[in-house]
Amino acid sequence: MPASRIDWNSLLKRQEAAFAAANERSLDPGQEQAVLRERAVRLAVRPPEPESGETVDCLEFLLSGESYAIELCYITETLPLTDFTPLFCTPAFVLGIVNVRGRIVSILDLRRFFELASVGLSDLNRVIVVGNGSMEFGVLADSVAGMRSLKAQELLPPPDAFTGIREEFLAGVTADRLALLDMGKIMSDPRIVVHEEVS
Amino acid sequence: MFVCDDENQIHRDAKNGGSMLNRLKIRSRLIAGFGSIVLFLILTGALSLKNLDAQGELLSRFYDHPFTVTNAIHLVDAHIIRMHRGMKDVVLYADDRDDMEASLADIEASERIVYRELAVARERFLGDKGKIDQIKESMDQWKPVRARTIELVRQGKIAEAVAFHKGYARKMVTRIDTQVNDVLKFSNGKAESFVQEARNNERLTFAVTAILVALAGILAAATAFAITASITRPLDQAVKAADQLSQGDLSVEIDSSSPDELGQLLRTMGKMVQSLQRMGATANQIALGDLDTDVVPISERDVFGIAMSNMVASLRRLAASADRIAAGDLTIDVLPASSKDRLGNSFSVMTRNLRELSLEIAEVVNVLSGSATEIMTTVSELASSSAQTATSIAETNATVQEIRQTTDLTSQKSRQVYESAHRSVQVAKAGTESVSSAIGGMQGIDERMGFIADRIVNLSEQSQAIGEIIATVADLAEQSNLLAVNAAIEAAKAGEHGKGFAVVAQEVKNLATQSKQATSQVRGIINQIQKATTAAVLATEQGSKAVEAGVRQSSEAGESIRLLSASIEDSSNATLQIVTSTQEQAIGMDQIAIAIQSINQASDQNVEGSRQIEAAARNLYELNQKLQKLVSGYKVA
Repeated sequence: MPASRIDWNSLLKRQEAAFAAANERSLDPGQEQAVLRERAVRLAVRPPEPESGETVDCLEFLLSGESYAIELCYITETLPLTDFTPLFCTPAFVLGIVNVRGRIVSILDLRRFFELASVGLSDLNRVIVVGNGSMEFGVLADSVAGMRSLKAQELLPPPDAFTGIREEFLAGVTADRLALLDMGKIMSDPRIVVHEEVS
Repeated sequence: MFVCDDENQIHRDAKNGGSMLNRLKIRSRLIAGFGSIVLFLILTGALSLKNLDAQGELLSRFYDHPFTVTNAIHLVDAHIIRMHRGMKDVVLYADDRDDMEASLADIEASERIVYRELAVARERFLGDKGKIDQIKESMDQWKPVRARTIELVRQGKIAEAVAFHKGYARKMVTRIDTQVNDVLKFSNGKAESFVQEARNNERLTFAVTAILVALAGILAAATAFAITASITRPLDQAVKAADQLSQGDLSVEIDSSSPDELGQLLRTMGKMVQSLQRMGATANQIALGDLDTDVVPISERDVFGIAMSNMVASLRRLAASADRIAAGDLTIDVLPASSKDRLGNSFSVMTRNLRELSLEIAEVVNVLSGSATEIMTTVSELASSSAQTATSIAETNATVQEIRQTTDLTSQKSRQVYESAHRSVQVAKAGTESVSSAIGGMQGIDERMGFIADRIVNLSEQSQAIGEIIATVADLAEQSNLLAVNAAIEAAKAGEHGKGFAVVAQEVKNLATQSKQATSQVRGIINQIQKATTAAVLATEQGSKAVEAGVRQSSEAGESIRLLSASIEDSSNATLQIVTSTQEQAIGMDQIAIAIQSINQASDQNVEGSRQIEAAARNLYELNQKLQKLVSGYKVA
């Protein structure tokens, strides 16, 4: 009778190796120390002096595949969009209202506010709460990318593709197609204030 | 006189079988019979009437004469008595003038009646009329007497008047009375004689009428009998003949010379019978096959005759067709007279069948001819092959000797084969045992396989649980990321003081991103594990099936080994038989040698026989030639 073609010994070895890998600590102490040391070295490096010129700290976020940024000074916090209440008799750009730790904040859908003709798909699971002391509202985002410092020189005027109301509220565009929104202008714009009485 | 004659004649006719009566037609016969009866009745009636008339006359005479005269004389007598009494009154009551005058008037009235009646009597009286005249005379004489008496009374000489009356007048009256009585007696006698005459006359009339009625009855009965007889006898004959005819018996003889209607009927029936007899004779001839007779219909409307003639014509046609068929001409087509023409149809079918038959025979003869030729060639081949057989037999004899030697060799070899087969049976038994233990092992494998599959499915479920945990971890990472962003924002708001915090926040964010990447890696690994488990389950299933197949195949192998062992056993037995039979073969070979000797003799006889067959085949060939000639005699197309 021919011997079985299955090499049971090698199989058993592989399994033991797998079990050992599962049981052993993720890194041995020496390795761990090495990683920490590397990280410390990386952190210890003095960041290069910022070049002369003004920088703008802003929060970058994605909306329908496009990157936008809002200056940090306007941002209060970011939230996951868990639950919101739609409001009747409001313009299309007002998605609804949401309760943020006791405060009622209305949510603005920038895509509708910018009157983009075709509204693409969106995950719509993040809200960036913005405010300037007098008014406060949430801006809808697919996801939040993170903090970013933009140099004033990097900002370019909006290209021809940006037309209409969008062009009006853009502070500038970077080379990697990041559009910086002029939040002060948006907040002071009378169109954003909804005052409608329903009899 | 005529009546008597007629009656006699009828009687005579009845006796002579109605020869004269038969000469008359039935109508005239009936008229004559009933006429004579009617005539007789009229005669009887007339005679009776005549006698009744005589009787009446007698009665009227009786009334006219004796009766009237008697009556008148009686009246005369009565009134004379009245007058006489009146005269008595006149005499008796002479004192009373009025009474006397009344009596006188009475007397005068009676006198007038007396004269009147006397005149009647005189007229009707059949006897001596002088007697009546005498009465009248006496009356005339009485008148002056009465006048004298009345005179005397008027003068008052009553006594004289009474005397006169009693004397002379009474005599007068008595005389008149006797005269009257005389006449009366005569008259009564006359009446009696009249009555007698009437009675005689009546008796005569009764007798004559009775005789006549009796005669009329006899005459009527005789006439009825004769006429009935004269009608029913020929009718009976006709009915009997018709009855026979209806039975199909044509031997009836109908003979009648009677000129009446029945005679005509019988004669016509006779003609019919003759015609039927003729037809019958013709039909008999046809039945005997003689078609030469010509059937001529009696008239255009002779249905039977026309049908017979048609039948003869159609039979002749068929006979002609049959003649042609007999002569071998099968080309004719027999057209049936109608769809129900059985003979015609049968003829048509027969000719068709004969045509087909002769065609078939021709074909068969052709085939036969070919066969005969073949037989002849075969027979000659047979003759040559018989000679070859003889040489072959000699060769066979030599071969048989060789076979005998071979048989001995075979016997030895087969013994060796028997022993090796016996060993094979032992080996096969061992094989069967190993196979059954292999099957047991296979079943154990199958159970293990099931166990493995169960475990693998458990692992898959556990990896599913890991996936759920990973999802939770991913969610946590996401939340940490958001928190890091918020922390960064706060740090930025803190300005220069928050710079360090910003770095930490950035680091937290990096960690969150890494955990997220790790979770997605883990998710990929879990997906791979799940795919692998599915494949493993499938593989175990296939393994299980393979084991099943292995079990089946090993049981088949076991079965095959068993069969093999059985067949080896059989072949071992067979070799044993071969050993014995080869020995028998050796004996058989010797017998074959003897048999071949006999075959040799038989083949010599064969050669002789084939020669005889050759002669027979030649005869067959000649016979076939004749058949061909015969068949060609039939024209088919």
